[in-house]
Amino acid sequence: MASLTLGRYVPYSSFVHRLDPRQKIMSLILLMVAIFMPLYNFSSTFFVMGILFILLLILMAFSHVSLLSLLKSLRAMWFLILFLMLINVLVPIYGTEHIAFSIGNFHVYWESILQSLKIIFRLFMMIQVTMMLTATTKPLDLTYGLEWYMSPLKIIRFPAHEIAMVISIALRFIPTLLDEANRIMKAQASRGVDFKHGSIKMKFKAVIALIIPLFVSSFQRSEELANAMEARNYDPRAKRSRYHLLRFHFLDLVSFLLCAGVMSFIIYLSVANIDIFAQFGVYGTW
Amino acid sequence: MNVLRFEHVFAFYEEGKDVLRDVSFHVDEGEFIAIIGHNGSGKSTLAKLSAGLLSPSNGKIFIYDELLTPKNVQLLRKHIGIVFQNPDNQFIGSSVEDDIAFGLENQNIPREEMVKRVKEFATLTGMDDFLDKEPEHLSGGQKQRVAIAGVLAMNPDILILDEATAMLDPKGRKEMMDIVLHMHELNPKLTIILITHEIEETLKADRIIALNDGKVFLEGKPKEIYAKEDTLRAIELDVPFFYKMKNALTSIGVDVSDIEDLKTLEEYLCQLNA
Ligand SMILES: Nc1ncnc2c1ncn2[C@@H]1O[C@H](COP(=O)(O)OP(=O)(O)O)[C@@H](O)[C@H]1O
Ligand SMILES: [Mg+2]
Repeated sequence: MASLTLGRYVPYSSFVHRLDPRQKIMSLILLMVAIFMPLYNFSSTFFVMGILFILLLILMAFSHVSLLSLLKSLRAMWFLILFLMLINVLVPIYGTEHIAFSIGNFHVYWESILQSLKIIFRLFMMIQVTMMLTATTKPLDLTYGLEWYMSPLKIIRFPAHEIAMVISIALRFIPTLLDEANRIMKAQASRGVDFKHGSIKMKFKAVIALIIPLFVSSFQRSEELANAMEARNYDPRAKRSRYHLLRFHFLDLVSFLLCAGVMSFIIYLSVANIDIFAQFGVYGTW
Repeated sequence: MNVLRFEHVFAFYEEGKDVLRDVSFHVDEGEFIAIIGHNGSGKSTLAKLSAGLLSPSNGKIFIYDELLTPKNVQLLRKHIGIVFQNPDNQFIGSSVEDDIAFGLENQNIPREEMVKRVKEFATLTGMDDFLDKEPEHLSGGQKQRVAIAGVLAMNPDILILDEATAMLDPKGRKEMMDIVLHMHELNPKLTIILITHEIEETLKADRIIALNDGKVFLEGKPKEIYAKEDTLRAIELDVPFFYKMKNALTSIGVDVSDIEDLKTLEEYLCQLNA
């Protein structure tokens, strides 16, 4: 359950919350590209990513995104971290110049360790920017944003509006269905179904006793919902006006340009293969 | 002019199991009709047929004297608004204002007009302080008020309430009924079809239609219908308290046929006693 709440929308009214979801989605993509650009060497990478990371941390503080829940994501990644470390240490393909330590004849290189740290750091930052988006944007606004990007595909009969409607209804019904699941669980427990104890087989049976009624009622719900929608003249193919307005403000332009600037600069560093520290007169970094 | 007319309508969900059998009735503009009948007697089916959510297997349905066909159903449906029973299963938007706006979006109403109507009908139903609330933070009664606001905002000519108060507590029930009666006062041309289990809600109706096993069993003014207490009992229907009293008094030879409401009846009884 903890992983479910990771990056969940938290209502505040910071300026990041108020930005246009379309712009935030675009900025997310720009920053992701920036994060994954290969740079000259380890030092350059950690230096540039470190600065970006700190900037994002400040932005997080401004928009009330919890640092704690970001750190929790590390806990969720522990297996991945271990795996990356092991692979990189066992198969040192990124250079074998600096030995960190040796176990008998087996050498562990600094390059392997730095390489896995680099990957982990990038993944971590990827989670960070994604969380910045999802924690400051209502799921429904996200859906509208995505629909906007998908709408050109309507020309090839891609059902952009229908998909957005399906997602928004699914989001709308999550609390209702959780409620229902709770009710069914209590009802079944009062009939003697034990959800907490017993063998795997017993537990499996208990879950079935939950799932089946939940399915039956969901189907009934969906039929009634379809009736209610149709009775209110819903026709996905007809022209519909929009109550929700997505507004692109001046602040959106500024943040978009900032993100685009950051990305362009990092792409430049990458393509021109610039050794950052050499610019400051420090040569020979790893 | 009949705003709604059924002519020998049959309907089924599964082949061979007719749920409505030879149903005929008509509703005039501005009438307040109550439809009663026990569970499974076909009330909801009748409502669905009226909005073209289901097609009759036989017979004809007319809305404003126009035959309902698959071709014109989208158009004729605009005359009709339905509030259903379950508050959760008709809340489509993710907040109160979104849900009220849903039907307006479908009718492609310009945004400024939508904003105006959302506000207007939220106020009318007492939901104007909850515009940005999600459904999980609302009570059943509040959700039903949003549902009726959403339907009324679309400006229907016929308002159908299919047991819209059945899942509410007495307070929520009364609030809903008050809204409906208030709307009828504001706009006497609005036709109301109230499908209900709550027998006391039918007292103010102009006409009552009693369904039994998919057939129109009785039809008439409340006065006429509820005089037939035993006949109604036979199809598992109750009689409002006022008419029970009247019937009981009549049966012991007291003439109360002119009395139209409970208060007058009370006064009359006190007079008799004195
Ligand atoms: N979606 C459905 N599929 C199959 N049978 C249905 C469906 N809805 C209702 N019925 C059946 O049709 C009959 C009439 O139902 P309904 O019109 O809902 O009655 P009421 O609203 O008076 O309780 C019932 O016997 C019911 O079982
Ligand atoms: Mg029903």
